[in-house]
Amino acid sequence: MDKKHIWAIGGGKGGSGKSLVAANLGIQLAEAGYKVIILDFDWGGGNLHTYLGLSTLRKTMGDYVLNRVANLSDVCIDTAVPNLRIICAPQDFYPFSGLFSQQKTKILKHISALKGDFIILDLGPGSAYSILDLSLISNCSILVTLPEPSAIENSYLFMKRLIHRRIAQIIRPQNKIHLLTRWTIERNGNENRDKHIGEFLSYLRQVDSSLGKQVEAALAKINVKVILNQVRTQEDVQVGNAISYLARKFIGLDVEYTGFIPFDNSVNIAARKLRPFTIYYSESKAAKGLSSVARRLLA
Amino acid sequence: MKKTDDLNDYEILDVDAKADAAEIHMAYIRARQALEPGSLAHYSLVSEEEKEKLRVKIEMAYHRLMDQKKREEYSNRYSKDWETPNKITDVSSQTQNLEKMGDKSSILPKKKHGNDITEQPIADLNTASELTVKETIGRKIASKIEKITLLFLLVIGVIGLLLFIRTLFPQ
Repeated sequence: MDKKHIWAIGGGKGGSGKSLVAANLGIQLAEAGYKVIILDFDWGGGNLHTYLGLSTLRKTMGDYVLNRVANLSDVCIDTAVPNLRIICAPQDFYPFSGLFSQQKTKILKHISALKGDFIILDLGPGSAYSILDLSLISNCSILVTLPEPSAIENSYLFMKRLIHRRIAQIIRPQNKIHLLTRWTIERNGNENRDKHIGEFLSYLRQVDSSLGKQVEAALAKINVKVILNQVRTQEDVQVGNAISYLARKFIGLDVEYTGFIPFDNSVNIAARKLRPFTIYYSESKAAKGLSSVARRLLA
Repeated sequence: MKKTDDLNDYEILDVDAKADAAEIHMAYIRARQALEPGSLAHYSLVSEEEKEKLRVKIEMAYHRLMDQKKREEYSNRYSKDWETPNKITDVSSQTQNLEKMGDKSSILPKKKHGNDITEQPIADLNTASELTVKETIGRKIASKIEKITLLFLLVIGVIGLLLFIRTLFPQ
């Protein structure tokens, strides 16, 4: 692999295991020899460092925002795993989405300047625009979800908002945002349901063919993968396939089910000991599940 | 990115146009499972009416593609307009191993490293919280100084503007 990869790990729902997956995926990639940097974007509530056994944060992304350091790489912290470094979220700061747009843009630009084979963005909960923007600068948006209605609902919401954000990114600079607004108002005027984005693209092609093609091409490049966490039964396993199928049909997004992580008590035991489960319980079901997922992500 | 209504039979089942009967059957099972009543995956996604519409399309697509004659007729008639269906990832190898996840073959190739994270000392939590409190107070003071400076500059700006206006209109 000779190209830097940016993976964004999100999913909307809090507590679905995003940071846990980010930390342990980072460890597995680092142990496989890749240089990895994980950035925690759960400002004010980040736990990434905890999953890696670090309890004191001497420098965070907040220091970079407040211009205490010149480069984003200056707030990188080495971990005990060779090749793995992290950039922590400030703990006593406003949320990332609350930053001025110039500050957010500065961070977005500097992420791609970080040196490493893999840059993993731990997005934190929610689907605010700034979270979606981070997801859209990545090569791959990885949604971590649970086989639970609320978590799945938030994942679909994240996917829909990701599409809308990407469309807005393209049509706003061309002063065509009114087309999306008009379509949204018109569709809501008829019936109160969320229509397939394909219907908007049909509408856009009618009113501006070239813009329609441009948007369609951009949407086709969105690369979304789903990981199912805390899987207990074979029925749970199939939920991932179903999410992938239904997202294609009803949201219009090509979503790949990358695999699952079985529910495993050793994950909780390792977390209580401030140890990553992939190292402390490397033979556990969860560690093996994450390895399968990592191999599929690398494929 | 097509509307559900515009999808052809292959796209409805997420199979390649060259898929054999076994692949079509597996895809049909997968599609049906996704829309099974009570499935967690379609909770709140779309209305019952839309789900039912897709169920009907799945049944129609399956029965047409499993009938060789009907499939040929259908394909000859519409294939020129089709795009390549999306690739489906097969997680069946992991699925079969849900109960046997102890298999070592699933581990990524690892490099040995001397500094084992399990031996890493945990930093003193008290020190950490003290640091956080100090940093918080420091940042609050810095924020107040910033606000006072901005206010001062604003006042100076307003006075300067007034003086400038007065110079322009001395009476």
